Amino acid sequence: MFSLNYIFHRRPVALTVIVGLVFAGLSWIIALQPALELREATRAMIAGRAPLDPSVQRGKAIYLREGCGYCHSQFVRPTLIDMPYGRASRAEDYAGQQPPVPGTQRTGPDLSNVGVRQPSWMWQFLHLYNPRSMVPESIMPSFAWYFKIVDGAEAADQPWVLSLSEDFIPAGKVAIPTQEAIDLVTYLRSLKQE
Amino acid sequence: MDHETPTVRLIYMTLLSAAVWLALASLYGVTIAVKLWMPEFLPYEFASFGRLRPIHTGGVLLGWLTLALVGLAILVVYRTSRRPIWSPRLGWIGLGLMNAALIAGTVTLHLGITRGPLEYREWVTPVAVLMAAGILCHGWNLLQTLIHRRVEEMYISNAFILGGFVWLPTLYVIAYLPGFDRGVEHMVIQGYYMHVILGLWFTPMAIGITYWSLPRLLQKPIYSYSLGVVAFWSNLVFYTMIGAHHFVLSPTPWWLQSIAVLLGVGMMIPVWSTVFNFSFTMVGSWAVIRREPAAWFILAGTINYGLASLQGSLQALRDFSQITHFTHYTVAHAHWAAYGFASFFVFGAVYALLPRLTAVVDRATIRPYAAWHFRFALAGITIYFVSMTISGTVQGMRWSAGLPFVASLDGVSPYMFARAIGGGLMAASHFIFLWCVWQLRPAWQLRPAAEPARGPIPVGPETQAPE
Repeated sequence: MFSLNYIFHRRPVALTVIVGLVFAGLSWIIALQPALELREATRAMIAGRAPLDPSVQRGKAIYLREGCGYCHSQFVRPTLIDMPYGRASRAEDYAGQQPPVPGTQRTGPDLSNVGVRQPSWMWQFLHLYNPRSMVPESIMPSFAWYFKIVDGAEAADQPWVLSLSEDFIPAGKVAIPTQEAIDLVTYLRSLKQE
Repeated sequence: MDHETPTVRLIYMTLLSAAVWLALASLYGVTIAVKLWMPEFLPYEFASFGRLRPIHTGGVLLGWLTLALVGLAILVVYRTSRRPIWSPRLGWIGLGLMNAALIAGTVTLHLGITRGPLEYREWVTPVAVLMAAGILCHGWNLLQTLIHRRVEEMYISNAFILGGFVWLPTLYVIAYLPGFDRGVEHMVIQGYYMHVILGLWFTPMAIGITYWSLPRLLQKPIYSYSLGVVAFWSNLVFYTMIGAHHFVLSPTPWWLQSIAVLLGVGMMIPVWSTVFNFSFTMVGSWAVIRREPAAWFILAGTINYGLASLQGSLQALRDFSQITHFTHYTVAHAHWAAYGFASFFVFGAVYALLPRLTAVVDRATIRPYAAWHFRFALAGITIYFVSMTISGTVQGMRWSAGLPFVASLDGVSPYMFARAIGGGLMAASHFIFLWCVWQLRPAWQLRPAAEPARGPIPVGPETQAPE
């Protein structure tokens, strides 16, 4: 009488409890238990690592806020296709990241090793201000709001001054990066595979 | 039948909210589709691609599909337990909480308040708590209604619905559980969450509801009750286990990925049980199917479910995944499944059940509009799917040919344009849908149901004897 078939058709509470427990048990096997084990490994990996530079941390927060990880992966597979992006990702690469942003799409290229591939501050600033100024085919959004547009003369004492053609900025004006742009580029330059 | 009025209003308002979120979220979708083709479109901070994308995915998955499935679940439980909903007030609280979460989620994501690009769990914790509280209100309400049902046996739809309402909150708790916020363990939880929400919320709910809408529409029992039971249990066991396929060839444990690949192929058991069951139910009812757009949606949804799931099983294979992962191919797949399958089942159920429920407009009046909704939606998803599948293949092929990354951008631009057209057609169809739902609103003074239940009502296995 109290067969599964009986419960399935007559006992809503028992059915709910059973399917809930089956689900919780399977979730324990496939997600929670492995995650707990991996967490121990992660803790061992990051023990003794120096904390991240505050500017890198702020830059990472901007990377998360702007959803960069929807289009840029940080996940290199051990395959031929992924060879331009560096060596295959290891658990150690993700251990220090909170949260890691491996991503599921490559609308733009992988950034696991971009700090080695493209270390130029100026390239990164120009590309952030308007990606088309560096890569005409790019479909990345411009992040112009992380820059101040000023007259060329006003920017004389600035460490970074972006001069662009009139396609991207009004004549006589230049762009200077805000602290947020500097933080974001600091973060991108910190993405180096050891 | 006055006592049923609050239940009908609650169901209707939930479905109307869902339709509004669908129209809104698909406008976000079209906007980001245009941005991928014309990157200088709307170049503002609050409207940048990275901020709009989670609003689109959250809007369609948690706004449209979740609200619509909740509304239809209330409808199915109300009808199959032959009594009004246990507490309409709790239902209104649930609806209010979910809408509050959706508004708060949309605003916070616009402002850049987010947990980061963690698919489908971008909302910050307080917003997610509102959503979970709303789901729990509805779940409790439906459970109480089923406990106090006025029939002896629960119909199979209710098993799927009860399951969905216990799995989603459990999953939500695991997804927002603190302590897994770094390292590979984060990827394990992310893969698990982003797949299980599809497999143990949208899938069982959409199927469970169709187990009611299809027999009601065709006025005959489901082909095989047992196949439904097989699908229920096998879906639970297989679908829970396959989330790791989102990170194939990653440093997540190899055994985890292998289980995901293997059981991903096993998904054919629940999928084809359901597909065969719905197909054989439809056999012989061609007159109704030709006439009713609701049936077109369910028929197309059944085909899409079978094929998109087969594609999903293939995509999980390591060799296949190497080429298609990271490309638009996976975006095409996601839209085919979430739209061509789950949303089509929901559209079908709304057109099949809502006119009967509110009984103010004759279903024949709505039919031509529903037909245009179907044509636009089908054309839209087809253009979207085909263009994105080709574009994903082009990306994968160019990358494996060792061409520089920009070559993949160059090659896909025309397909990005086609994608925006497909998205525009779908969005247009959603405004027709919104209009139809509005036409079907209940009267202030609700009359007794104009169309009393006819024909055999499939409640329980014993009604399955051939007529």
